[in-house]
Amino acid sequence: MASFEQAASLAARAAVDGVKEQFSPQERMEAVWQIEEEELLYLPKPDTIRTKLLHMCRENKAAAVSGLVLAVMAFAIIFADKLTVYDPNGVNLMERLLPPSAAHWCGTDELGRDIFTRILYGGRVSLLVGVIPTAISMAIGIVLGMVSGYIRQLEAVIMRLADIVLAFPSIVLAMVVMYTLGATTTNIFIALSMIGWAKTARVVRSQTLSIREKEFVEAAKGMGVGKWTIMFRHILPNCLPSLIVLFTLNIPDAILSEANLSFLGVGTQPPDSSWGLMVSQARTFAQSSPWMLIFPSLAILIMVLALNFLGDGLRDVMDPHGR
Amino acid sequence: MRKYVSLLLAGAMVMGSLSGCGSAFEEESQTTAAVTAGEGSGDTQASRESTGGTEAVSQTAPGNNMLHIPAKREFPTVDTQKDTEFYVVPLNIYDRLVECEVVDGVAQIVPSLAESWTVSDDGLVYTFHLRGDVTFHNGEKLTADDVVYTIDRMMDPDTGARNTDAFSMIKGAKARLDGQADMVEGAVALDENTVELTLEAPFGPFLANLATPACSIYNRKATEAAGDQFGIDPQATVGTGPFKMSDWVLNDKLTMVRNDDYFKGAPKLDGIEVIQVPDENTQKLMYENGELDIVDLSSSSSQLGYFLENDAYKDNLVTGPEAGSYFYVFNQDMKPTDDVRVRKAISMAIDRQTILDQMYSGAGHLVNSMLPDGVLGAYDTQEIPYDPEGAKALLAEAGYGDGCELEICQQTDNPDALAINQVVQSMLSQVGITVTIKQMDDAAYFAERKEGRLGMTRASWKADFNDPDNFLYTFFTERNAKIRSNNHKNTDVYQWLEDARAMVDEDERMALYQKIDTAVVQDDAAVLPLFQMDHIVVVQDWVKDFHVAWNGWTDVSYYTVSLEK
Amino acid sequence: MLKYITKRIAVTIPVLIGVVFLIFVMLSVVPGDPLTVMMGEKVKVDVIERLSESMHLNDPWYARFGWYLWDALHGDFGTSYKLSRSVSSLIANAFPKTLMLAVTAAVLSWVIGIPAGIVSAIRKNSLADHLFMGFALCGVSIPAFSVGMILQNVFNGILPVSGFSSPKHLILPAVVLGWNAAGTIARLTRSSLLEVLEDDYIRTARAKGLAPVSVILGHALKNSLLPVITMMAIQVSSLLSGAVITETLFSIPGVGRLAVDAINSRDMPLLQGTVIFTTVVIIGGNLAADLLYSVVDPRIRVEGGK
Repeated sequence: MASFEQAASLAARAAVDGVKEQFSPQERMEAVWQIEEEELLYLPKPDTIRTKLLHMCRENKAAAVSGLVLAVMAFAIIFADKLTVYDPNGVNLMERLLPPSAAHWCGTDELGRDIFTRILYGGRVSLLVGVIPTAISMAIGIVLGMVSGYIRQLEAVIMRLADIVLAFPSIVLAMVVMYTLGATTTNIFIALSMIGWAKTARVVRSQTLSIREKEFVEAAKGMGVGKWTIMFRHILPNCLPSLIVLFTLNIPDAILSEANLSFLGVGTQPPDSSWGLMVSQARTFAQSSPWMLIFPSLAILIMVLALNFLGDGLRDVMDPHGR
Repeated sequence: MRKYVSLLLAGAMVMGSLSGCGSAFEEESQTTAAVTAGEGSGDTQASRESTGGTEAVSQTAPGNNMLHIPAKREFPTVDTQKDTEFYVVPLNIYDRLVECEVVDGVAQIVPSLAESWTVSDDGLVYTFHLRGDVTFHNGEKLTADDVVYTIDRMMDPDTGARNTDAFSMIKGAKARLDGQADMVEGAVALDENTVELTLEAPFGPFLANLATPACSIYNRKATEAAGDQFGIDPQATVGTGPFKMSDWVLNDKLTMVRNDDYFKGAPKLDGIEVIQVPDENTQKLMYENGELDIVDLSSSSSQLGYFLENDAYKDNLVTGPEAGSYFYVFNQDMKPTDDVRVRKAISMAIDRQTILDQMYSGAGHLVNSMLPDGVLGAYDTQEIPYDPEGAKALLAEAGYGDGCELEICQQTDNPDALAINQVVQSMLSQVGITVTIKQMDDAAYFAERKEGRLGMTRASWKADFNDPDNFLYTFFTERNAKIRSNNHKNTDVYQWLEDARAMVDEDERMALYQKIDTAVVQDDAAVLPLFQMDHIVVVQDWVKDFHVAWNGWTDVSYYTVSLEK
Repeated sequence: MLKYITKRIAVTIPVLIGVVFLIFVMLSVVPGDPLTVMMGEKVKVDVIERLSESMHLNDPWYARFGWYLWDALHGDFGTSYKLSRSVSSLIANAFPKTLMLAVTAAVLSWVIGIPAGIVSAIRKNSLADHLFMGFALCGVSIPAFSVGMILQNVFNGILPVSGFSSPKHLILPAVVLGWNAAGTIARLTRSSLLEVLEDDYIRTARAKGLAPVSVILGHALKNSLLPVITMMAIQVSSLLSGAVITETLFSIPGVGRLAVDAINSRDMPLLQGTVIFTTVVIIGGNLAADLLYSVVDPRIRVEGGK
């Protein structure tokens, strides 16, 4: 999982952070300066990001193709009602468990519903679950991360909170949240946001720690600019490249988490469908009607794969230190 | 899309060839396994041997004369006084005073630990004469004191029993449970082999009730010594039954071995392994592998179609009665089902036959009463028609000509209920009723149901004991109507249900139950009976003498079963 | 070093209490009737009321939380409501299975992942690189239960598809978990090896005329494996904390399945116990990763001083 890699880099960073705390302020400054020299710091202007994207498209074919695939999938999902004649919840007992055919491209399920149609509509849930909780959790993580990196009094509290969340087996935490709040799509957003923020917070904190020592931040401070202005005007833009990468790589995590929750029965609730739920419902018919299992699995695989390729490509051009 | 399909096919071919290699490798290793295992698996035909070999390596139990059956959920305990759901182990390791068996096609009460009994004319005093030759697994002889102890343990408030209803009709039992007495007054050992049970009031189904697993007889010495490990620790759990518990790996499997000293003669099996297999498709796969000997399709209904429509399994299906049915329960405290016309309209708008044929491969028949065939008092009654036009007319008459909204509730992890609810949702939309399906986790579901606030639900009931009381009393007394969330309001029915319990004349009693049933189902439409399923069990060729239990339970005694491998 | 470990462990304790508190509060505010779920559907209402009174389940949540902490400090993690056994014994029985599965899966992922990563790095942008990396990415991009279900149905009759009674039962679940982990390992090995290969000292070694293979094996690999080792520690702790999905799919009686069952049946003591256990494992794993990192990489020393 992408999360493993992030965890590794986080652990490495945490180790470095741990080191820093052991050192005297003077030593710490030296360490930070050293990092600074290695780091290409820039205030990303829009054209920088655009140039980098163009560069990526030229250099990294996989990322470019993935972007295209994602665009096509997003289009199909958004205009689902134009692309199919079936009702995603249209029960038709006379057409149960039909194999793929011209009429039903991906076959039908145990209630005679068209699987292709349900994949298109289910993609809406999967896509929303990918994007919305990731956005929410990153927003929370950015604010808390910057605050804990910049306002040292709050650091301990926020970071211990993050520790609690990170120490929890995430799927169990999500299940408990879903039980507490009830299994609805909105609550999936909440559950996944509650888990996701901690990672972002740690990344943003460590970046804030290094950026706050920069000259331009010191200069702004000297000019009497307020803390919040410094955080949002000066520090945040400098975190942006790694945040974009993090965002792209967090979406597949969220999609897979939703699938796992649905498999365990506390995710998306029928008759609504998501890809994860479709796979999970295919379980009882997996052998006699494999199409119920294979097509939704493929949908997840393709989307997550494309997001991962895109994320890797972005990281290569935007965040040379992301690994 | 087409490209993906061809990719997929390519993938499937690769996997197929891989599995081909895999199987070759497998046979080799199997041979080694059979050799290491020594005797036991050498005398069977090659095709079956591969699976037998696997078991020979992994099993701790002797030989390959073990029966393998699946269980979908782990048992909290096999102490039946503390568990109300899982009876497969209790049915095989304990005995009851009497048993219910099908004799000449009719379910009857037959002697077991008690070889005979008498009932006083007023129906209050039951005297049981125990067999003198019964010993428990620990070697203790069964005495009347053990029976008294069993009853007292159930009602002892310190036990924390959950099945207390099984003995609560005995005189003084409730006082014991409330802590007002030190013993159950109505349970007395007259001598070593005679027990006298006195009831608080006449209770028609008392004998049938004594045949339920909840009334399994325990040994005083062993049970007291085991303390709270009784029903948990295999060695401490002692009964009189044909099998003894020998090993229990939680969430994996529970092993029972043959009791050679069983008073009816030792069973033919060496033992039974109950394997935890929560998923129905996996049960089917394991059956095909030969890892399971018996799969009950009534608790794996999603696999029904597969086995019924596959000719290869034609000879492996054992069919039997199922004394229970599926039905929809309406909540009369909620709109729009507070109106009898709406309830009748919903009943008429649901095409039960199509649901049965398409979703359950037609393996069953429609029912129109709460008393399914095979239960005492079952009778012929008027058919509830499928008539969408009539339903629309009734809805218009009730003031819902423009449609209405209806809530169907169910538990979250119940794919079978979900499937039928979704079908009903689409059928009811044809007559203008918009259905929302509300899935609730178990805790919320039971809390709402207890308060009488659950919407329409699909329910099922299988006989605990063979008496209409078990079906009607459970749902339609004033109190039960609330806690079962139907809120049925017929005070006549409340009274009749109490009256019937005290009746001694069987014919009159059955007639009254039929009157109650007609009032509830036909007149008030408090429930919509759906269908009674055929009880279909798929058993391997080598399993002999397997019979479906009279009540259609999945949990049965495997005493008579043998294997011919 | 010792000081550092002590400090890390001290920090762990409030985190643990926080985890327990979080679970307690969340499950205490849930509406619903856990008792009926715990005791079974057919139990009569008055029986439930009697029993809940005797089990102190009607006390307010803070009282129960207090009692729980008190007992836990004395080593008593309670008795499972649903399975009527002590929570410690349940976890003690489940953990060896999880351990076996985790170790098998981890070893599998190393055996596949590290060589694949090395080959990909050496032959960067070759067909082998693309194949290996595509395979690795697939492993992290498909839900474990999809892979598991496909394997179950394809290998039915060849390998056991459910349960845990022989070594053979390990194969399919270990493949499911191992593929996922191997993907991560392979990608990390590749990228970290590539990074090292760019370093000056490797260029120097090459310039000195050392053959590429011995350069890679002798110098680059050793250094590039540092982050991989860290990752391995984190992965093992994550696998040990229970592969919830895989254990559920393959009916493996491990810790993850225990936790899921506990949630489903609102079995508070069991859920608390499994959560505390897995949290300790995860925290321990992360600590081990940090320490490993500092041990193998002399550039990072956790204890101060020059």
